[in-house]
Amino acid sequence: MMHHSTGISLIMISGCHRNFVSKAFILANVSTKTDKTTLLNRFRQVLPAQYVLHDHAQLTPFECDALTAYRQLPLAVLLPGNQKELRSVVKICADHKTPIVTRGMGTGLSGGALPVANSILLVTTRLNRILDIDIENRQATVEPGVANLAISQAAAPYNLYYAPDPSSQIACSIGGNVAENSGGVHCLKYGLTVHNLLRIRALTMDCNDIEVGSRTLTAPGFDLLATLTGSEGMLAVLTEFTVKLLPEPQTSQVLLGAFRTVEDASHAVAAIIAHGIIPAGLEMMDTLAVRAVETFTHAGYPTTAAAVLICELDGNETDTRLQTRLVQAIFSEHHVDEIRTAANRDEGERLWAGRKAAFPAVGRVTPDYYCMDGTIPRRHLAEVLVQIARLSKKYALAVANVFHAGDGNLHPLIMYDAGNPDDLSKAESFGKEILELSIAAGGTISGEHGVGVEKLDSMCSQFTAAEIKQFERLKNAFDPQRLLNPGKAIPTLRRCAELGAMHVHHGKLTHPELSRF
Amino acid sequence: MSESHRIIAAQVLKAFQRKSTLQIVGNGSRLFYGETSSADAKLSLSGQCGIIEYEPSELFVSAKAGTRLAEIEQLLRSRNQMLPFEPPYFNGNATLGGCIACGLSGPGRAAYGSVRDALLGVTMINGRGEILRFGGKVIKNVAGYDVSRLMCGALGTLGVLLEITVRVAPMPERIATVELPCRTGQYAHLINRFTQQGLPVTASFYYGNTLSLRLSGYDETVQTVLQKHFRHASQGDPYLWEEIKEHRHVFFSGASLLWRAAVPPATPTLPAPLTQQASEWNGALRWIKDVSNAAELRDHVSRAGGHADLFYASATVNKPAVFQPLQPALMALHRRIKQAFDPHRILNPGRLYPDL
Repeated sequence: MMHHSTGISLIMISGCHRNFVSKAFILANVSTKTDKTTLLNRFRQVLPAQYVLHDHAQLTPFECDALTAYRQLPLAVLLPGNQKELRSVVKICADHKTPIVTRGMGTGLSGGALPVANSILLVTTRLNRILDIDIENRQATVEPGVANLAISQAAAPYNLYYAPDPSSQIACSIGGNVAENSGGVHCLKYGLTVHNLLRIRALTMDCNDIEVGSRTLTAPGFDLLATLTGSEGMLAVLTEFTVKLLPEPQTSQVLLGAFRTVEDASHAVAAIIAHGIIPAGLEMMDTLAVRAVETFTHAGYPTTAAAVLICELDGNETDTRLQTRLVQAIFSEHHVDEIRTAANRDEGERLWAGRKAAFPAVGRVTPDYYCMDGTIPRRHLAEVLVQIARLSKKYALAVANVFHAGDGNLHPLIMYDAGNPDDLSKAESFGKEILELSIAAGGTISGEHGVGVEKLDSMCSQFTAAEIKQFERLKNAFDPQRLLNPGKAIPTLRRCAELGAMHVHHGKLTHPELSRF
Repeated sequence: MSESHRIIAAQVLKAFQRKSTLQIVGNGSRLFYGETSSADAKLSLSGQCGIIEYEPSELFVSAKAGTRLAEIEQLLRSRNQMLPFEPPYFNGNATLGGCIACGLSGPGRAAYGSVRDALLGVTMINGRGEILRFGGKVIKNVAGYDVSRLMCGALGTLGVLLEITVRVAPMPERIATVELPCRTGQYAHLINRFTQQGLPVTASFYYGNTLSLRLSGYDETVQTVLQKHFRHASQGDPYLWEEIKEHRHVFFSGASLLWRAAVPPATPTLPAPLTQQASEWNGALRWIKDVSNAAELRDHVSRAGGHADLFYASATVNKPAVFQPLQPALMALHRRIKQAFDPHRILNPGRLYPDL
């Protein structure tokens, strides 16, 4: 069984090949000036030999990230154990013009850590030290291989935590989080990675050690902290981070609402925001997602609801109490069938557990699924879901919808069977149409998973040629030799021209019936 | 693409072709800020006014760059919302474009986030006269590099802002201001304790042995906190935060040099000769008055783990380097980024650093 994996399900990337053709991803023509043997010898001079992986069996576990449909073996996999080894490795690659793809835990869903042929895969998992926890100033300094949740665990004795919580947080690395500007269910109130980051130390490909941001609330010069965050490993090798820690909220409350229609649930979401409440979390799931979750977790979700909302409120005791009453009233005003209010922390965690297990739950009811990631203005949700249902019939593929209702980030999960020869390409076409819908609705093609290799084509719809050229020029300022993660995130102009997708951007939408947007 | 955008872009294109420099101006409220620089011609954005889109339940507002902040916040107030970064209005005419370009956040910075945190997207013109759009209206947006946020604080050296979308926040139901006597060594600990306890402190100001705190939230919440924690504190002046935001507070008066130092918040009071200080952002921002030895000031501040910029200098003084000097490799990268956006160096040259 193939999973796009998040949460606590296993990331199965080896030993599960089935009889289908997985796409070997050959990206832009990358050739090395130096032969493999010379390179490996140079790496072995700076790294213990056991951390220089090069034969087929050693490389295979790293051939993809959590976007398992695409696989590629790198030239070698390197696992530096400290900053000196990391710097030496980068220097060798720079000297020999060998491209580098950086990888944390490989939980990414867009192929950002997919290796490139004839390139190095630089794995940061051994750089996993928490260097400092500054309790008074509420910040932590960490190496890139530290797991997201490990930061909060280390800060917990001081009643502090690190807020961004992607569903894969027990595994995903902070380096990967910064590369993708990861979100999570609490980002409506607490922000994305960029809002919780103070400082990045990085190596540019001319082997300079730079520091952007600072341990304070401002930094001199251009906002390169924001530039590097979400740059998908394309601009520099990120070597150290200082993140903000927040005091743990005094109290929290979780509520679940079961609604008869998606419209009712969407209007309830808008009403919550309009009442001046910014919930800590506000998630929506449709019937198919709820049923999959219920089969998997038996969390007691109402399987007849058209849409389920899960709302978390946190803060001081008075705020939480007042907001809970308000949210209950708003749910009732919007024809809610059932409201469940967690009586204690355990119950609250159980209510959340269903949502957090949504992806692996869907993975149990379908041989394969393709997780989409687009953002739309919240008020268009009902219409977009109607269109997605129409596309589901068109492609004859079922789709379950999980939605960060608070911030408009939509995760349609397209269910398919890779054993059917056409299914993968149908799923991808379905996915592309969903991204077109997101753009047409005034949104974006990626809320939090990044572009990687997966959404290169859709970038051609979201951006003009001049904008893509500007991205290229910015890249050139950092990495003129194009050694970092080549072929990812930003499509070439030629690719866009070949796709003819530029036409979409200049007013000719693929969904003329959506002119109301 | 509107006609007015095309006209402005055409001006920039002409300047690009002629390699003649432009000074980008809204209503001129922040001309004092940054390095003194000159240009061959002014590029005026003051006519670019107007709200483009505002939907309270979507938590954003889009406006043209020349729109006055006062006008935007008046609209937001009518729907019980506000700009979370509380930008100063300066002479009252400050524009949204200038606000983003300068990146100066107000008293609520530590609680509500910075200007850049709230920036969602821009329509801009680069130094080649090309109109480009980056970001959008949604907070979760990770397609492409974060060019819109790169514009924040760049003082117009990377692009001309035409349209801007920012996130808005709900306005609190009630605000209360309290004053506590506080010795210099104490205030960082006090504020830290209040924050750790989850008290709704949304702004703070320490000056003259007095710590002022702003409490914001639901009426019941503020009342409860006042009774439980601040029963013995005096009531403060509700206009204090406006005075601080607009730099009209008595601390700022008569300054010939006004420095803005950013330090880790728990940093103790900076030592002499940095004696005339006031502190905001729960200790993370230190205003320092009338120190002319820039090297000495920056040395003290960097030993505390921070950096300092010159916010204001009166015409009578020799103006030191305004912004904290950068390490050579970082400065070289800045020059290359400038090149990527403005290859003929026509946009606000020298306003941020002499080389840019």
